[in-house]
Amino acid sequence: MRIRKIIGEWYIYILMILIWIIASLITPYFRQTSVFMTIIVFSVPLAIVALGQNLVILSGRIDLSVGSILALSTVVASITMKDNLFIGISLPLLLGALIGFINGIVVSKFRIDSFIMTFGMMAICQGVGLLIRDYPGGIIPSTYIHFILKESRNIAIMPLSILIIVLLVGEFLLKRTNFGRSVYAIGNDDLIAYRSGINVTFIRTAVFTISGFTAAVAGLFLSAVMASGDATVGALYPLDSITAVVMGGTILSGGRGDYKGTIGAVLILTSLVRIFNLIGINIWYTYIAKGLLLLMIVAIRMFGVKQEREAVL
Amino acid sequence: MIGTGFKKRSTNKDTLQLIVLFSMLIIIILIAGILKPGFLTTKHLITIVHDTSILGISAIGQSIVILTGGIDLSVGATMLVADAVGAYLLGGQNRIIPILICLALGLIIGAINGAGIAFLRIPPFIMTLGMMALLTGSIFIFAKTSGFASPILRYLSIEKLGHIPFLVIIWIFLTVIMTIIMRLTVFGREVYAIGSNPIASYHSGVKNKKIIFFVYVISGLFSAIAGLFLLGYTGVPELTYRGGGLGIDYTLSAIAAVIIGGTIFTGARGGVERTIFGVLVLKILFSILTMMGMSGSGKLIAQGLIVIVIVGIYMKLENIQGFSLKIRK
Repeated sequence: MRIRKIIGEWYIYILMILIWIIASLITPYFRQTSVFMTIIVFSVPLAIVALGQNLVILSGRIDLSVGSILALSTVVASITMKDNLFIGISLPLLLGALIGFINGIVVSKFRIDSFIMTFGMMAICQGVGLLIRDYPGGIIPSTYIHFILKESRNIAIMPLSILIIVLLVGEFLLKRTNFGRSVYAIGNDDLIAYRSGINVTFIRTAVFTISGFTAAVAGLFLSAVMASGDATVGALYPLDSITAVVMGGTILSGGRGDYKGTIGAVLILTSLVRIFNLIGINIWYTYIAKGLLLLMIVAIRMFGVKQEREAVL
Repeated sequence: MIGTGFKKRSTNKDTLQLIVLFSMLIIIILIAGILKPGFLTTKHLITIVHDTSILGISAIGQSIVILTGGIDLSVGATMLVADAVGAYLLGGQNRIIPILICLALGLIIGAINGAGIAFLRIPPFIMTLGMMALLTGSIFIFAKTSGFASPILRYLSIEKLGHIPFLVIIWIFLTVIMTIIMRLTVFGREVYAIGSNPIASYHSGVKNKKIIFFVYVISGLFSAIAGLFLLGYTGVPELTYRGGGLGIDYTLSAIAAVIIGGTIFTGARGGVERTIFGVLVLKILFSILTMMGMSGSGKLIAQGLIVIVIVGIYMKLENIQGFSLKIRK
């Protein structure tokens, strides 16, 4: 029973290690540290976005606007950063948090469905981003890029530590704070949460604000990777972050799940792209692998919950 | 679902919502007519409606799915798959088999979705998201971006009967058929019952799983039909990849149209006939913004604002009792 529980909690990491072992058996290139470092660097933005998305999904809602907030953040950074690094970092973050706050306030106060609200916000942010910069460009200072992508002895120290810090922050926020418990409570049943004295409106707004903020943080990281700003860079992120969160074991209707699983899923998703690249398989196969993995994991998980949901779909 | 499950369906509010939608449509058209004199000509209005029909057809399937409280994210992908496969197999000739293959493809995609959702109990959002990823991958690996529409398909998609395009007639015809099915048959009533409260419907003898399965099959079929007409309309297959997944633009527009039409995500409110208005409002607004010379980015901003404002008005009208509006995703 104990083993089953451990497997239930860490299955995504077991899967990840299996994939890595198979990949390193197939291709010798995969055994180099530099490949792992690339995987880490490309995992960081998705992992940061997925933290916000994870909170939103745990609270029983969904956020489609993360991608365009991320893109807008790279655009704003690419314009402001060359004059003043402090403003260049804080302005995108503030903007992201503000957009998230608007999402949250409308979803919780006016009760517009989060899918529609964030879908509208996605279009608005994308429009604003394209208005500011309709083709990729801009200047990101090289000092900033070197700081963010700092390497020593082939190990990308900075991205790796960002990933670990984000993982620790996410787990701490969800498991060790009042706020995290309130998010779980709201996701399970917000009426009961409300009756037990949780300020549902506040928590929900905060969750969306954090989601906007994390998307902006990811944008700042990505702007260092791309060394420019691009208003269309975020298109993949909403659905990819949802995929990662769900693959990691969080239930889409909210209330159950954690963040460490999401990180595992993010690592798997980015590893797949790398592995397929190294083996020389057509890159579109990653989509098939992604879809199949997602469906298989969820189907297997749904196999476990049998009786209670027989009638309910 | 708290508080909504047991509430009586109030016909007054439904009518009010329809009046709001209808007057909004009229006001938009009038304002456009005043601002741009060329707008209010019959020819131009017919062109807009003609432009709308393909989205309209794909939104029919989507509205039935949303009525059950589900969502279908693979609509756009199915459309473009039918589009590409149809073009490749037709190769510019009048053949019936390729058309049937495309429709069967839509049915199969829908059936896989339906089976996953109904029998494996994968949440609709995830099942169709996964399906979209699968279709995106397979189409770019296997499909040849070549071929043309057959002349008959092209004729049906472009030409007009008198003043009215065939495509519009087909759209209206399909909507009427689906409205009749949804409003007057047992199947339709069971769909509404599941959307309203699946536990209650299960205990009153509705075969939830069977109905859900067929709902997604129908959605797949309508997506394939829309895809074929898209092929006829453009003549050559459209296989551009614009981020997120295959045909995600079509999918999201269809969902937005359904929601603007007044069908709500929690299910059982609204209907197929409403979606016509939703699609029209969305498209007419776009065409007005284009006429005003607005850039692509401006249109995106306007689209976002409009969707939020319209749904905000609905929510004000609904005046939901109880605390939450939880979606069964």
